[in-house]
Amino acid sequence: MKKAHSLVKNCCEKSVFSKLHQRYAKDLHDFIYYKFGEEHNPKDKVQEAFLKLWENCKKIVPGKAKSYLFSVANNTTLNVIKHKKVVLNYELNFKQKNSDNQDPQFVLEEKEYLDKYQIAISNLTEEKRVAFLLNRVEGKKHKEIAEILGISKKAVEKRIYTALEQLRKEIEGI
Amino acid sequence: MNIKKEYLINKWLNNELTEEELKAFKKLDDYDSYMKISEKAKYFKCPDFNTNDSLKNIESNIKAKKSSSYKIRYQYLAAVAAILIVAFSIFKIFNNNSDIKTFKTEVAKTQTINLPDNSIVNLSANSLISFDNSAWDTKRNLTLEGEAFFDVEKGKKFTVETSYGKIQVLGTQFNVKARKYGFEVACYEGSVQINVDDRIYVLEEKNHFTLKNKNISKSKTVFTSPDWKRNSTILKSTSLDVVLKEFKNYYDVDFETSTVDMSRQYTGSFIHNDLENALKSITLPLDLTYEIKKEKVVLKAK
Repeated sequence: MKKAHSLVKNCCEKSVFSKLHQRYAKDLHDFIYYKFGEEHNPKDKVQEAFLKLWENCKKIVPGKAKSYLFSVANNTTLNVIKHKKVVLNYELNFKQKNSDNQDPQFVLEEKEYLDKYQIAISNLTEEKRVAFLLNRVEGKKHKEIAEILGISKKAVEKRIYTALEQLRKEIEGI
Repeated sequence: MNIKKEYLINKWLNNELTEEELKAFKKLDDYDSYMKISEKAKYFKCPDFNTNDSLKNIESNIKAKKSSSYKIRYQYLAAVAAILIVAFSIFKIFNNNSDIKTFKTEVAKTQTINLPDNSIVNLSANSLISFDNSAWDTKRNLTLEGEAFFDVEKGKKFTVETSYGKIQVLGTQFNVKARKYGFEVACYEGSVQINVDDRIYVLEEKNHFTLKNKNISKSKTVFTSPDWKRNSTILKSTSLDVVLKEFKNYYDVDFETSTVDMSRQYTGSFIHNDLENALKSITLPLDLTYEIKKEKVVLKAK
């Protein structure tokens, strides 16, 4: 009986709250970043969402916390932007650390490729971009992404696959 | 083939390719470009997210919010208190400055005062009235020390407060004499209500009310204005002691009376504008002599 009671405790308990944070903060951040870009300060959105969760902690059971956090962060960001094109930045020197020397032509080609890539990514729909980048960049499995986005695994698969195909066609100018 | 390709790619994307499938995947025409796209995607990785820092920030924000809500409440209270204090002091200042008006006459001087409602007060010598100017419309109330004649315009209740009691009228002419040594009210027109020692007396026109040694007496008067307005004082069966006190309201003199019996009764009058004449009016009937020395008048029995 006691255990059953402890299961329904709300998010007001500090241990519950920080566990929720531990579990969802990064995913929430990545989701906001890939969806809206960094212009809208994903870190702040994460903070806002968790503060809102804390304010309403009595009304929200931990099981509902994840969807609550994602919709709060999503909605507050949507309030700010009106479907502006999202351009994600890349850092070229990322790779330079690992290689000893690069000839200028390689660097130039690399930059050209990434510029195309950048445009291609910003041409993806939000849905496809988020799913694709969570998979390729954050290394998340279809199932995990499905959980984050609250959609089926099949839908995730479809989004990522079509994103990949769209990117390839656009980058290679097919 | 196409279906096979999509299947392989999805498996690859989910890291589920078997060795055989991987071989097949590598044989795809676009294998290189898929790999490149996959590899270069890492350039678009979002900035690192530090979960611990984030939690700390959130926790400190929660604390700040709590304390700031208290702060706001205190500031709000302080603001309200400040406004109240300011409002109260403004109210006080206005009350003190503009409201209470006081008029005082010196010995041998009289003054006519027009009240806000056109009622007239004739203030006799050595007397004082004060009233609340701003509240006059709602409350015709004044206090009197000494003697004064009132010609009151019709209107709300008009109240004269003295150390002996209250005189209340609606609209009339009357005289109040509230000296330390005696209380008299004379009504010349209409009627007057006098409250003394929790008792109410109504004084009709041409009547005179006297309170002397706690005894109340009423008498008729033929005059239409008080004696002092005619520059004289009329006294009936008054002890010499009181006569001289009354005298001093109109003449700035001191008396030397060590050899005279001050309890002797005097009936008569004296005028206010001639010292020698006035002194004669008092001393002759009582068979006294007077001698004027520098601001001192010596009374002696003959």
